[in-house]
Amino acid sequence: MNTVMVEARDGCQLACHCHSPQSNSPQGNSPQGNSPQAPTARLLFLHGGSFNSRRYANFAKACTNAGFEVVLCDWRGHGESQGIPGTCDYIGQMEDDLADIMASFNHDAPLPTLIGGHSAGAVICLRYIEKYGQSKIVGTYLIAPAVSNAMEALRFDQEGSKTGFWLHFWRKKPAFNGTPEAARKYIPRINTRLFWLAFVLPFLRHRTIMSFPGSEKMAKIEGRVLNYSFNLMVSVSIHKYIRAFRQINVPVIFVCGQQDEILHPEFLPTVSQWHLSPELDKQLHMLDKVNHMTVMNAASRILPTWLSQRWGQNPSSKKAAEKAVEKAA
Amino acid sequence: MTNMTSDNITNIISSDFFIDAERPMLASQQCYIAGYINDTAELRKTLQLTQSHTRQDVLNAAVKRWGIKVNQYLVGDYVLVWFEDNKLLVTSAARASLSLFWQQQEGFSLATHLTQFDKPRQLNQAKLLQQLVLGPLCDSQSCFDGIHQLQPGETLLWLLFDNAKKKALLLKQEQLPLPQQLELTQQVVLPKSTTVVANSDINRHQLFNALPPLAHQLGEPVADAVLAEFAAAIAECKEEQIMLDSSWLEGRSTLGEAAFADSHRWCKKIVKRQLLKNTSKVQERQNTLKAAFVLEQNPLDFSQWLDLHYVLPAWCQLLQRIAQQYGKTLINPFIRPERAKALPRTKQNRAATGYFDLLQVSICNVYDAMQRLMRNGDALTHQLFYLVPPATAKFIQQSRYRPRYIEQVCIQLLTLDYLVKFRCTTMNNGHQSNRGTIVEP
Repeated sequence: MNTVMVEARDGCQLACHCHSPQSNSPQGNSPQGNSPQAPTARLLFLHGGSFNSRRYANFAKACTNAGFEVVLCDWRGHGESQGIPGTCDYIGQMEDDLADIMASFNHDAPLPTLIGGHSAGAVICLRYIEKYGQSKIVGTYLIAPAVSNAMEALRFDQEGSKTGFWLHFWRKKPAFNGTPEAARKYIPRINTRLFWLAFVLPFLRHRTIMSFPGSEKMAKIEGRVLNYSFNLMVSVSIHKYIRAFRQINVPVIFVCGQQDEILHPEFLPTVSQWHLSPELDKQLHMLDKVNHMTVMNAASRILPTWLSQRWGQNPSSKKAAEKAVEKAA
Repeated sequence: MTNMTSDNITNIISSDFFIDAERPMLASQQCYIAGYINDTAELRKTLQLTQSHTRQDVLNAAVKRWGIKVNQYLVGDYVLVWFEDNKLLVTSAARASLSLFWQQQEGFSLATHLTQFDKPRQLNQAKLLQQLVLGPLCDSQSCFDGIHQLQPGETLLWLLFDNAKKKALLLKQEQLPLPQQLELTQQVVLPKSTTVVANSDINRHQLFNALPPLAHQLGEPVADAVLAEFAAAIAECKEEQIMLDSSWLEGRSTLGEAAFADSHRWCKKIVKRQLLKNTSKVQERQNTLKAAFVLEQNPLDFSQWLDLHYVLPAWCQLLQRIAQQYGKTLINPFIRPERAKALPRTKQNRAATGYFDLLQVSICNVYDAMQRLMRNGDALTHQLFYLVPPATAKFIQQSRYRPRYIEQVCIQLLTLDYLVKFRCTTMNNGHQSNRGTIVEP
C-alpha cells in the first residue's frame, strides 16, 4: 500500500491509500509464483461518515487479490487528509474532491474506474453521479448507502417524524416505530433547531449540527470525527435520491444487511425495482444477520466476484474492460 | 418471425407474432395460429378432407373456403393470421383471450405484445382516462396512440403495399355479434390443464416491488396488484398449460361498475384539466355501451352484461399476456358463457379490501408511494395529475369506502410514471390516432 496525496481544486491535500495487485502480493509475485498481472480496473472507495480509510483495509485486500487496484480515499478533514475535521467549505465539496481525485489518477495511469463507498461514502458517489454524470466511470458499488434524509428510507422513526409525515402527506402517521436502544449507538443525533437556524443563517454553517455516538477519547485513538457541521452533513446527504438513482446507467451493485440500523430492509429492493432502469446491469444483495458495520465483511466477499465477472482478467471480461478503458479515455 | 409448426393446430401453441410489412417472414397461403382449435374432426367432414390431410391443411382449406367469415366455423381460443396475394387476414375466436396489436402509423406491424413495437409508445390520454375511470374494458384502441387491438371475434383484412413506407390499407373490419359469440363458445372443449389458485398469504412488500417489472413486461400500466401476484404464481408454476382460476378475476369490474354509477366524480381531485378534456370521449364510450346493451334486449342486467362481454374478456386477455411472457398458455374456462355467468361478482373478500393498506410500511405502500411521487419522485406525469399532498391525501381518504378502487388508480398512476421515466412510454398531447381507412371491397 502506498499513500498518494492528491491536491484538490482549493489546494487541500487529500490522502489516497493505493492498494494494487503488485504491491499486495508477497515479493511482488502472485501466490502461484507468476508475476502479478496489471490491474484491469480501479476502484475508488469512500469511507463511511465519522470513520476513515484505515477501517477498510480488508475490503481493499479482497479486491486487490481479485486483480483490481483499490484507492481508499480519506475525506477532507478525515484520516490523513488535510482540512478542518467535521466541516467543509461549501455544500457539494465532497463530490468535487472525488472528481479531483479521479482526474489525478486518470491523468497519471488511466484505468477503467469504478466509484463506490460505504454508508455516507456511497451517498457522496450518488451526488457525484448527479453532478458530474457517468462518462468517467464504468461502474458503481454502493454498500449500505445511508440515504438518511428521506423518511421512508429509514428503518426507525426519528423525533419529529410524525410532524414530518403530516407535512409531507397531509395525514396522520399511522404508526410510530421508535429507535431501540441497541440501534442508538450507531445513529447520529441531529440538533434540529440549530439545523434550521444554519439553514437560514449561513454564518452558522460550520457549527456542529450532527454528533455521532461514541467517546471522544476512543475517537481520537481511532482517528474518527464525531461532530459534523451543517455544510458537511448536507454534503453527505442527498435531497432527491430517486433522481440520482434513476440516472445510473453503468453496472451497479448494492450490498446491505437486513439488520442495518439506518436503512429500512425494503428500501434498496424498492430502489432497485422502481428507480433503476429495467435494462440496467444491477445486482442487489440483502444479507441476513448483517448490520450497518458488518456489511463490509460481506461486501469483501461479494464485490470481487462481481468485479471479476465484468472487468476480470479472463478474455471475455477483458473485452469489456477494454471497452471501458476506451470510454474512460 | 413466427415459429408455428404445421401439425399442432389442435394442440396449445404458445407463440408470439411479430409481423411487419416485410412479408417474406410469412409464407403465402399458410395459416399461422396462436391458441387452440378443437373442431378439426367436424371441419374435415365439412371440407371433405381425409385423415391424410394434416391439421394445417384443414386450416388452410377452412380459410380458403370461408375467408373473412372463418372465425364462425373454427371453435376454440385463438388468433389466426393468413397471407395471400398482398392481403393479410387476421381473425380471432369469439371471446378469445389471446391478444393481437397492430399499428400502421410508421409502417404496418402486427404483434402479440406491446413491447414488440420498437419505438416508445405515445400515451393515448383518452384511453388512459377511460382505463382509470372504467378499468380494463375490451376496446379496439390500446392505451397508446396508433396502436389498436384485435377484438374477440373480430376479423380484419389488409392490403399490404410493396413500397418503402411499408403501408397497409384496411379493407375490411367485421366483428361477430355478441349473442353469436356466446353461441359459438358453447361448443368449446377445454384442454386439460393444472389450476393455479391465488395465494391467501401474500408478501405485500414483494408484491409492491413486482409492479414495475410487470409494467415493463406488459408495456402498459398495471391495472391491479392481482396481476403481479398472478405473474409470480405463473413464474413458479412448472406446467406449460394453466387453467385460469376465478380467484385471479376478483379485481375486475369494481372500477367499471362504480364509474358507470357515479360518473367518475372521484378522479377530478387528482386529475388535471389536460386529462379531463377527454371526459367527453369516456362518456361517449359509456353511452355507446349502454346503447348496445339496450339494443341487445337480453335477460342480463347492464352490470352483468358489461362484465360478460367487456370486463371479463379484457381481464382474461391481460392474464393470458402475462402467462405468455413466461412461456405458458392460459386455458380460459370463462370463454364458455355458462362458466362466465357463474363467476361471483360480490364485493366481499379481497376484491373489495385490496392488497395494500395505509398502515403498511411506507416504502412499500402504494398510497404513500403515490403521494411521494411529486415530492421526491420527480414525477414525469405531473402534467396529467395533481400529486400535491392536499389533493392526494383527500383522494386516498376514500380508500376507507372503496379500497380496491383507489388502490387500482394508485397502481396505474405509479406504473405509468415508471414507464414514462424509463422511456417505454412517452407523454402525448392527446391528438386523435390515425386509424386505417376502411374501404368496402
